[in-house]
Amino acid sequence: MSAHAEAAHHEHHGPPAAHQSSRVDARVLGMFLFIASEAMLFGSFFTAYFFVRVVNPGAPTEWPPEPYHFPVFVAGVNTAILVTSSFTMHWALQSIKRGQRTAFLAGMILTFVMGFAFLLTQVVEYLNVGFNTGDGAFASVFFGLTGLHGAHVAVGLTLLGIVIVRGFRGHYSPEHHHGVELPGIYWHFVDVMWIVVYSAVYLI
Amino acid sequence: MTATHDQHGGHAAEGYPEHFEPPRGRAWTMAFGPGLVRGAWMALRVVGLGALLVVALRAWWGWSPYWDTHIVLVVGAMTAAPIGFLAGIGSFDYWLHYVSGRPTRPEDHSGHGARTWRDYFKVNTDHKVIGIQYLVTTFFFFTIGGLMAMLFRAELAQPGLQFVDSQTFNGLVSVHATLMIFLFIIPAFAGLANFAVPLMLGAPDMAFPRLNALSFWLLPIAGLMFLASFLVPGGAFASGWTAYAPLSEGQPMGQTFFNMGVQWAGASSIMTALNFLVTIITMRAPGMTFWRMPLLVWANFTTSLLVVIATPFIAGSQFFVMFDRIMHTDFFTPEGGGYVLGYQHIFWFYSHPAVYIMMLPGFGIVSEVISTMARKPIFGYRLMALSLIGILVLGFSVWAHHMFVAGMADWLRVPMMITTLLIAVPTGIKVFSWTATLWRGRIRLNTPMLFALGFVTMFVIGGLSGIYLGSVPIDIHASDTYFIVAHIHYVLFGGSVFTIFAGVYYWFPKMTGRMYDERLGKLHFWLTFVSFNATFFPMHYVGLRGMPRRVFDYAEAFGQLNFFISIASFVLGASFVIFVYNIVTSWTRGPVAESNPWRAHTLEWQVSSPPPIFNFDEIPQVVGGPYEYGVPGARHAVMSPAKEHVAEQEEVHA
Repeated sequence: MSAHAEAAHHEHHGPPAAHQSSRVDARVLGMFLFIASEAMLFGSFFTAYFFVRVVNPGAPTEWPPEPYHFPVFVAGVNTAILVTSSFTMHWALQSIKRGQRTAFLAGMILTFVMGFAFLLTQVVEYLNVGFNTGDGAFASVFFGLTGLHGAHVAVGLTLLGIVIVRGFRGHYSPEHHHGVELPGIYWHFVDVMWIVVYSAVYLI
Repeated sequence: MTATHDQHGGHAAEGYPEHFEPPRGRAWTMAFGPGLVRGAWMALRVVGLGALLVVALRAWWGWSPYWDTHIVLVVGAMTAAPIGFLAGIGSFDYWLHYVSGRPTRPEDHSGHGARTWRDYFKVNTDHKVIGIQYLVTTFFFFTIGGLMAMLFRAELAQPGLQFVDSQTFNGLVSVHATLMIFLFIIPAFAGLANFAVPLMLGAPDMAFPRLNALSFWLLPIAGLMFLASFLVPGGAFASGWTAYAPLSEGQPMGQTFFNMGVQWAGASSIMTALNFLVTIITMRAPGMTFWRMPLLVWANFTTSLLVVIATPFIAGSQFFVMFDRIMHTDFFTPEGGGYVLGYQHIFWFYSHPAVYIMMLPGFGIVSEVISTMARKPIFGYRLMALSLIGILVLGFSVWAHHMFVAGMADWLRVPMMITTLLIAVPTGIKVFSWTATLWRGRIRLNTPMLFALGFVTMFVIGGLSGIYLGSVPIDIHASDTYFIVAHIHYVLFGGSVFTIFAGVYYWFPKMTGRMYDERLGKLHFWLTFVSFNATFFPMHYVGLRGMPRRVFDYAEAFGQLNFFISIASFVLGASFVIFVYNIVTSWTRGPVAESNPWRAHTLEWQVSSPPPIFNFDEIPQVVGGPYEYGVPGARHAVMSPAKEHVAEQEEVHA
């Protein structure tokens, strides 16, 4: 039907439905491409870490150099919290897929609380770590990687907060849960990235 | 014939959805409705909020002085203000509605399509409008960047200091390069592709129209940020568009505008690229397999992959420099344990792939133009697509050829030289394929074709000097001379800019529904072609004789040639005036264009000029390759039968 015929009938004229040429959902694909880009951003920070710690002729023999030290144990507990929150996120998503609304909301709130606890612990860690951004390249790398990750946790928490608000208003159902799935994918990415950051900065 | 041109003019508004009627008066809507006015005051308001936040936090931690102009500018003017502006013009309206937990609004398409010129200054979700917004914006910044080039060419016309001081000279050179790269070549390609790619795919729009609108509006922010650097104490950023550390770390405040401007331009690029990838993967018309996609779509597919993977690295590099400058970190300061050369590695890991980001879409445009105008199928279609992928993969393995003289590890040189020379193979395949496509074709030498042919010849010259520079001994001799300037302009001006001109002329009738003036177009081409060569070819010679780049002064011996180069560059600048005149007059009162003046097969030419608001009334069925010119009975696509029927009726009436 042409635009003319349409106008003559004064019908609502929307676009023709696009042909779906891939089995992948556009939103999920978009999220994965965004995460690929994000992984490369972390990659540039890890490259800086690699230069400072490995390539640089004046690289410190001890990590972190004397007299500083990283709170490996506290950060380890924090890691456990964040990894657990990935499981509760998954539980929440599975619950809404099965239509169990209470379990979904409980899972989302648990995830949010754990993410928030992680971020709060990191702020406290920054205040008590005993060095500042200007105290050498090791500190640059430490604040760079953990700070970049912290910013991602903050974005993730915002997304989770939106899911909770909309969840309480009953906007998700077994048929419509993309709004839960996409922040979930992002949250898992943030968690996996933290394991890499924790291993690189604190452990090895 | 499958379509007519009579949708143009008075009929253009038909079929458009009703605009949402605001419940308030005109003045209220003007000030508080989404638009540039609200954008301006919201930007100003959040600058204040940002400044307040900085002062409050500094006071809380007891850092004196509480007021630090540099930090306030970074947080208030370069981070908060753009977000406030974007919110003000209405980029976030739909999302904020969603976030606040209200039920999703059904899409009313009121932000779709343009009825008057005012609609181009609003957030618009129509990929055709966004494409034109991109092109007009990028040509605006192209003009400014070009005027800067005129200014420093005037300075370089004779040895010694005449018009500007040395820091301003370096600032002009740096901002010129930055605008041309981040505000012209990369987004101009994004604009052309925004217009053409969804049409070529048989899709009603891009996959994420609101994201598409947002990625356009990030661009003027980045451009104004680069320009605003002229206004702060110390002048514009002056360490080149490469902004090498540690030079960039000791620069005045203007450098921070570069650090942050790149973030906004980069975010824009990544969003668009992501949008293209999702659109190309999920929204192809039935029958449009990957091996039936036009090469422009292939080119944007590979370019978008490059953008998504590589652009975060320049973001990282500029973050590190900015942190070193304002947070006193030591990423690139050796005295604090940083690694100076790290900057160049991280920067070039983006910026070498970036030269392919600035070239591959041009390859796509030229493939469209040459095949259509030579009336022949493109030679070696699959190899053309595969060579794009070859460039994509190899492009990530050559970055350190920019660093042969930088003092990096010696063992890295030869591997980088080999991969660099290898890139000539897929690129050579493309040049030979274009030549073979032309062979015994029925060539129409109109303006797009002239620019396409000009591109092929100029790009071969730039490619050959690239092969010289890729080999270590010659690079060591020619590094930091005008030979490099000649090379980059043969590749980026004779290459990319020629393809942008080819693309603008080629799609101009489709975009505007009007025809440009062919005589003025040809005059523009020949004047550009001759003055371009007169400007940049002598630079090879003065470069090899040892004239260094990025210096306002030079030896007396180069005086005459530089005077000649400057005069030629002014002619080159003047040739652009012809283009602007041609485009503006043709757009307003040029003759009405046919729907398919080039008799092309690709889908964008099978709809009216300009295309209907939702591109297709029904999604077409693709049945063959896109370039089967001169092949009896070959068809690329079948448009909906109902539409063909109506089109025939309209022809009878006309």
